[in-house]
Amino acid sequence: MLFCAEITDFKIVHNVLRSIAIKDFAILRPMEEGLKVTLDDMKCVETSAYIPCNMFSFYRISEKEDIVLKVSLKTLVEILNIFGDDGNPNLKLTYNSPGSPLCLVMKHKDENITVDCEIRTMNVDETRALSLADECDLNKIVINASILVDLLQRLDNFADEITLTISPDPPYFTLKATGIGGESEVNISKNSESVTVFQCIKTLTSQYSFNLIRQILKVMTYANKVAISTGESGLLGLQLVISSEERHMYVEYYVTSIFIPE
Amino acid sequence: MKFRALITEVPAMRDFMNIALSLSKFSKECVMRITARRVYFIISEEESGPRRPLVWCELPVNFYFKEYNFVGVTEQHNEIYIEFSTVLFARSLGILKQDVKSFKIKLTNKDSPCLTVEIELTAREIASREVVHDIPIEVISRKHWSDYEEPRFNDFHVSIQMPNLKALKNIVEHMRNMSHSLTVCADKNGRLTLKIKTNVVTLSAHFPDLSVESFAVGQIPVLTDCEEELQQSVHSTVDIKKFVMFLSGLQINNCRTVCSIVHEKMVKLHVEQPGALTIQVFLTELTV
Repeated sequence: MLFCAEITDFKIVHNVLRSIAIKDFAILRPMEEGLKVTLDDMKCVETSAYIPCNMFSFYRISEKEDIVLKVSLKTLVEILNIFGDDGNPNLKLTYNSPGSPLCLVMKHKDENITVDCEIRTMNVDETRALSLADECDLNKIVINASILVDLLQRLDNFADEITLTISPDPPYFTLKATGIGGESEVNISKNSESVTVFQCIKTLTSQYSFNLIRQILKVMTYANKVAISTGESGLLGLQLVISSEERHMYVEYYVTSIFIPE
Repeated sequence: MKFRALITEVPAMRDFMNIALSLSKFSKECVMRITARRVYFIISEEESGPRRPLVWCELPVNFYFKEYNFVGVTEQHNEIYIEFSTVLFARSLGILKQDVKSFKIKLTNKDSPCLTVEIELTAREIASREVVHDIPIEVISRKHWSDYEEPRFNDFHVSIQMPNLKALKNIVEHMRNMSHSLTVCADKNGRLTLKIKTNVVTLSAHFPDLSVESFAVGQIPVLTDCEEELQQSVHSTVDIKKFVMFLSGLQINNCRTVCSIVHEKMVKLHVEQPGALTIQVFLTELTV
């Protein structure tokens, strides 16, 4: 047995996984600290959800080897919600050996119904060693998530690009959307009540595809706080903290900047 | 050929409306068979080839109608078969949601043959109103009657009570997003299992402790599997869309539902409100 876990009340886990499931397949990494679910898109976007082990009522992994498996996330999300809204089931996950299916057993709380299923797993060809977090080490802002969602939604929604500027001098943090319709811009001061952390060493400006940023909005609506970090390479990292009944889970989103010729 | 029927009781009107609403969710067209004692609604498989009934709904005349005048095609063949749009029918009957005094349904010949629905609304501040809807129909000639014969099966290997349809519907709707076919299994211990199997996933939902009405294990064709448990179960694989259509279309609550299976041939769902209605849905084995 490589991995075995049990969880009750996983509605928030389902919601988070559903809102990051933009691609069919995801890589699951059961680790000592918790379960990590990663998706990447064309190597320019990477989304990961962390479900810490304390969210599970039972959590055990084999310490002998690294466990990595690839499954259809769409299928997993569908199955997690199989009882609909009123099921409130508990879930047991098991993964026996490389190549074996991921097994799920769910029991409905009120009705006498059991669902068991096996999701086929695939091998993961490559394992990426480099840490994206290290690349986003220059500037960091922690901001109230609902404010950021609101601001992003209010920017011109037909815009193609969004430019992010973080600077040690006023106006500190600027989001500018550019499209055929024109430009829209919003500034956030570091002294704002919604900003809890503001670390900025030097001014950095990078441009991103607004479509890619919009992908994260869905899951950001569940978040309490967002940490925005950038680095010299232009890589943008967003770390989301999602709390549900004093339990926290995390989502990380990395997106590469658009190359701007000098 | 004559048909005129009157409903005056509100519960009977509501039931009749819910049936019309269910029919409209099942199919665009339906056949109404009118006889002296019963009214039938029949929905056939849409595919070409021999028309097989998919849904068979039976209503006893005396439960619904206060007045019922009926003369069939001939004395010998004392029945009427008509075909019409379930959507128009359901829309016309939707008025029964309001405060209705009486509801009349009859065959008329206006510009073309019609099923005419006359609804008299209860008078309030304004003067009483009558709503008349004409639903164009096609009268089915006698040579085609045999297409709508009542399906009779008595060789089911198992008949098992269905669990709470709401919970079942939720599960099957999610299964539909993953698979085209659904395997329905039942064993003699009262366990109903719904199963899907695709390249990506194998999923089974188990509903234990249901009452088994009949189980004819001896008649099941030879099963090669040596596990004893498997030998004791009967299964059939059907089109999941039709299964979902039935569950989500059915607008009638508090029914007794029984699932019957002919091993590797068909699944029949039988809904009954004793004395008021029976609906049967015939889902044949999916041929790959």
